[in-house]
Amino acid sequence: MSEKQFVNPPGLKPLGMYSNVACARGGTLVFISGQVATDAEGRIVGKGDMEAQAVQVFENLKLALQGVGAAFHDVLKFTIFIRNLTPEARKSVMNVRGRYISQTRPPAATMIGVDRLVEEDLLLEIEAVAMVDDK
Amino acid sequence: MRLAKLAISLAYLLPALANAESEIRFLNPPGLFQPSTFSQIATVREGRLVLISGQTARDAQSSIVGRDDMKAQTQQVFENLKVALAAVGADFADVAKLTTYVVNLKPDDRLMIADAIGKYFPAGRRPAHTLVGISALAVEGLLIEIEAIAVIPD
Repeated sequence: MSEKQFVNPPGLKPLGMYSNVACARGGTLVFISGQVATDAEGRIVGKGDMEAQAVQVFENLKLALQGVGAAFHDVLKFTIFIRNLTPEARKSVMNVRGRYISQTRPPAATMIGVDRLVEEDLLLEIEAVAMVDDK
Repeated sequence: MRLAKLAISLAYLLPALANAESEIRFLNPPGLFQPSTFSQIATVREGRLVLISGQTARDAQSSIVGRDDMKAQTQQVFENLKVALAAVGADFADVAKLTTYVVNLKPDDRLMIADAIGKYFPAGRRPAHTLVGISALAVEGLLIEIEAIAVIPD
């Protein structure tokens, strides 16, 4: 059984719903590639719509996690890359993220603004590190 | 006989003692350039994994420290990393890898980061490091963000 710990130490105020520190032991480490807003056929979903793309990204992360018997509560950290990072874009992504993750034990996070992603119409990409219980 | 037994138990103990100090081994293999401010490779066999969210130059009240001042922001980021590491009983010697994101990366920025690493990390225990120039961070006014992977004894 893996054991995870999420900490927000005094002196570090998180900017949103995330933990500044995540610790884990006793399971298998999982790295999920950066997920983008494409469907099962590889078509881009929600062109020009940050919130719609964020939903698709989290649905894809869910599939990726399920692929190794993991779920969102197994995620230790997200790295979030956003094109044209504005306060509104950040809010949209954080809102969607809030529907998928634990409110009381949110994973660690890094958020980065980038010039562009792998395809012109992609607005965000999220990769994840998780730990899943050994079978 | 007794001596042999002692030698055997020492042989078991010594690696354990070495591990109690750190779970991380740093390596700069021949064939890659030999950096002084980071290690090309960090290896970890066991221990408790620690992931630190990207730290920025914000104080405990979440106000930005050192607006437009890369050096002051870098200093604050390292102080925040120290607080985050200490919260789980870790310190800079337990860090295996850093990823540093700098808005509009310039050559001078690298020197400031190297200075801070020299100050906070003991020589010979400089972590693996990736430095990335980016277009923006989560909040306007932030110039640098650093995330860390650490490993502590289980």
